[in-house]
Amino acid sequence: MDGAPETRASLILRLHDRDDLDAWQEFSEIYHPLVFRLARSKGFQHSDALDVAQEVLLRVAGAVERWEPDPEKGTFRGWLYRIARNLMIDFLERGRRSPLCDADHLIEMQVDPSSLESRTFDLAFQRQVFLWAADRIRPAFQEPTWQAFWQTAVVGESVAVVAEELDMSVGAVYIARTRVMQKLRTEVQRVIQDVECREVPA
Amino acid sequence: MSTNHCDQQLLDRVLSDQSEHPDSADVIAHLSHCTACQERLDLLAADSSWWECTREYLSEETEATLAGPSPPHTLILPVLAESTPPPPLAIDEYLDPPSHPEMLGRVGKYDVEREIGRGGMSIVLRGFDSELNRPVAIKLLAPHLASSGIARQRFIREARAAAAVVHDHVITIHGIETESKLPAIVMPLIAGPSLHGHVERHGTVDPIDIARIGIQIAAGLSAAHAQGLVHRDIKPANILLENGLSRVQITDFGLARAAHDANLTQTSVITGTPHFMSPEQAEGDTIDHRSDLFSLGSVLYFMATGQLPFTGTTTMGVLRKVYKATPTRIRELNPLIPQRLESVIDKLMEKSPDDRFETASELRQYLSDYLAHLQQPTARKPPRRLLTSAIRDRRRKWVLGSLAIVIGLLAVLFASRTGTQPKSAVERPTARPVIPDIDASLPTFAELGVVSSQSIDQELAQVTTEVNALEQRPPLPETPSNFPQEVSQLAAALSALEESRIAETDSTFYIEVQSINAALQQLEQTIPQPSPGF
Ligand SMILES: Nc1ncnc2c1ncn2[C@@H]1O[C@H](COP(=O)(O)OP(=O)(O)OP(=O)(O)O)[C@@H](O)[C@H]1O
Ligand SMILES: [Mg+2]
Ligand SMILES: [Zn+2]
Repeated sequence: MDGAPETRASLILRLHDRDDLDAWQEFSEIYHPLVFRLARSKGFQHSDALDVAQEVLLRVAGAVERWEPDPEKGTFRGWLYRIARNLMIDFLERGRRSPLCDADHLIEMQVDPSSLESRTFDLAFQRQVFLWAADRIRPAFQEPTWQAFWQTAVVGESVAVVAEELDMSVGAVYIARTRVMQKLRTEVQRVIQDVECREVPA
Repeated sequence: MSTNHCDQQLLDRVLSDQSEHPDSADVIAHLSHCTACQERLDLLAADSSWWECTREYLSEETEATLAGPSPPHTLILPVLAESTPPPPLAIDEYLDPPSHPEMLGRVGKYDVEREIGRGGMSIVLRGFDSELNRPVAIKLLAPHLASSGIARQRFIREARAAAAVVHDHVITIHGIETESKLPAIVMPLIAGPSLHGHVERHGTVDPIDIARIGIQIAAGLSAAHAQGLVHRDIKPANILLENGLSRVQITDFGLARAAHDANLTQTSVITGTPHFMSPEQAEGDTIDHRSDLFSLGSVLYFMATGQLPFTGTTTMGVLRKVYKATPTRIRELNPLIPQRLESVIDKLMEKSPDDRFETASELRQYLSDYLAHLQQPTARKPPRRLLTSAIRDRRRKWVLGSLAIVIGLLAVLFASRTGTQPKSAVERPTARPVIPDIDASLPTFAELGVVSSQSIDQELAQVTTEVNALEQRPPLPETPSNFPQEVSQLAAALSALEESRIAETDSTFYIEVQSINAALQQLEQTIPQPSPGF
């Protein structure tokens, strides 16, 4: 298994254009929550985690022009992860922050892409892209269509039960859920090429 | 009811068409009972790994394993106040009519060819001096400021003061136009980009060039400071490059003040970028020449790392950091920066002006000595090390760290000698049975007075020998298994401490070496001695 899906270079490359506000919006919608959660998981308090996330994104924003897709140099997300790690350490070393975590713990955060930490971050990233994509496409569907998808594909109810609940035929539930799924996939694929979800640490 | 399976085309259409179509009733009916077509439709939308991922990632349980709910929505935009494009402005409106049709207009006796750039308070034009037959740069006070009489007067006054500074590294002022629609300063046209443009394009600058540019800026500042003129807005955009990095010139002396005063009469907005301001400027305190030294430190930081020392989305956010935060360590961002150069920058960027270099010329001298050393490492000795608060902080950490190691080790040894099982390194006992009272055995700072370099060297040599001996010691059955590890950590701490010695006679360094020595003495006594006969 050679590495997790990489962020599509195209989104990152679009960031080189500072006037491409759509790209910047997508970028912050996806990465801000991601880094925020990373910081929360390391014990940062809510407001500190917000600061960390903001600062990481600003750093990335400031330096993104120098980032080029190059497998030798590692992934964009790896780069982001390293920046996030260093900034969190920095935050703690500036003192008086979040008594729940300490810098030593963060220093142990492995930058090596095969480490469990990095893997977890990759999975968190994929999850974030799914959440983001689901948010974006939801307004395009009628509520029953969305529910047909959500109840069967996410909650795991059987199609028959959901059809009954929503007062739809089984065939209609299939059509509804696959339409949503297709759109979700297209949206996710704008950001990442392939997905994988096994090995989520228990 | 259809018994034929749906063909691929039909399924495609079902998926892509959001609207109903004539045969949809049939398709729905067929899909309601044909599991084969149900599966094909599912697969057509996305293969099985997508369905799995969707369930995995969108379901709530995942929240717990992959760390929690989302933050409130925040939009990060790359645009900082500085880079917001100024509103379009037809500049020719503010120029006198041109004397040649191909020109944009005229300012005083100068023909204007075109606009070069804009800043927070000015517009820079490329002009031509037909009397002397040379190109010039014409800096106009921005129209929104020129409407204030105070700002106009101030602009002219500061320009006159700046014109009085004659120095290789301060831009010459050819003249000041007061009669034109907008007041203007006429200067030589400098070819190169600004230092800001250079770093944006080429990234970090190497140590020799940083030192060289630092010397030039310090020399220019020193000339201005000698005339009682504080720049107030030292930043990369105000350092113009000529001929690559070989010669720099400082522009915009004192102009920030003109803009500041004008703004105070309207709003209290800060014009231009706040990133290079000093903490005392950020606080609105009174400032002196040492404020320029802080800003120069930030400029050097920017060259060394390619990053701004203080960032934030809002001007207030940046200023708060300027005032309070310690920037990310330079060598962490760029390990190629030597320690001494890092210390120079750290010292310039000390929050308290009293902790910085005293004058620009002291800095210039230091950097010149340092540059000589960089160029001829064997022939020229490096200048003395600088003591900065960053070094003090790190040193405190090393000393505490090495004491903790010794104390932990002593406790383990004590435990093993009294017969209790030695605990593993991980759960190092916190009981303190034989901890030597290290503090009590040390002289206080006052008692110490001035220490000779000789006694420091002796102490250091002794500690080093002892640590080395401990490292070399063959393991004895009674020695705890983590002993070698602990000793080598101690050795590392010691050499890190050694790196930070700032002078031959550095008394705080002396105290710290002694504290390690004292601990070592105690340690040696507790180590089991090889029995005679071996
Ligand atoms: N003498 C000069 N020769 C050539 N270009 C110049 C000269 N003086 C200024 N410039 C260029 O003109 C542009 C605008 O300069 P200006 O000083 O107005 O803005 P700034 O320094 O970016 O911001 P601020 O107004 O805060 O000083 C800059 O890109 C600068 O490099
Ligand atoms: Mg300027
Ligand atoms: Zn069928």
